[in-house]
Amino acid sequence: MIKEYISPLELLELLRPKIKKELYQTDARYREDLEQEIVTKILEGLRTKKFHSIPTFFELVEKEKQPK
Amino acid sequence: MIVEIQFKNPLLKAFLADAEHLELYKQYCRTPNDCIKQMINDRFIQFYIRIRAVAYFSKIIHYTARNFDIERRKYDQRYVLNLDSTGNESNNEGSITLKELIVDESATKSFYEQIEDDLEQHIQNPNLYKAILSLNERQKHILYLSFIINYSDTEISKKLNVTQQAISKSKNNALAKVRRMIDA
Repeated sequence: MIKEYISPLELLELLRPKIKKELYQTDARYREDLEQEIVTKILEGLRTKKFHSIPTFFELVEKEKQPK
Repeated sequence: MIVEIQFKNPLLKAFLADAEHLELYKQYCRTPNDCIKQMINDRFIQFYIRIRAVAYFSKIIHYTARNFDIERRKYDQRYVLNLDSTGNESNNEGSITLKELIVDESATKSFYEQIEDDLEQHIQNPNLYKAILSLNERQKHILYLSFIINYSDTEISKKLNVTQQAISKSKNNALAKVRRMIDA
């Protein structure tokens, strides 16, 4: 689960530029509403999303060493 | 032992671009041990999860924003704010919105209502006249509005501030009573 690795605040901070960019595409009146919606979605995802098949560093190094 | 740091894999490249990670890795290559290996693995997972998370949530943010706009437009189309617009006239001076032009029907009385007529004065048939007189004021008033002024039940209900069903019921009761009186 993602939440085991990243705190919600850190994640929101990482995503801040992307959120800002997307906010500009909607009408100024609705920006706050949209921001709230986005933050809700992110927190929801943080709680539920799982990434499968996370490679380890050394697996990738091994792959790199194999002749193609 | 030569430290191999020329990786093609962009993930590895990016990971080792961090001086601290690079230092750890070099240390590991010089003296491989499980402790450092574990540290590198931990750091790598942290690093990797962040990249995946940013990529994943960027998509989510994008679609959320897009759906939000679609929903917004749908909403605006369904609940048009016609009454808040200033109408089609080119001069917006004073800018009177359309909602200010709506007539308050409860504040005005129609011409017929102002005459304050009685129902029985419209009746010529003596039997019917007698029957009408036996009705109470409210029933007479409803029949008056309904048959002389020709209001619908709904309009009467608005005037008298009751439901349309109540008007319909009173009216039918009154008519039934009149009918009974005439037949008797």
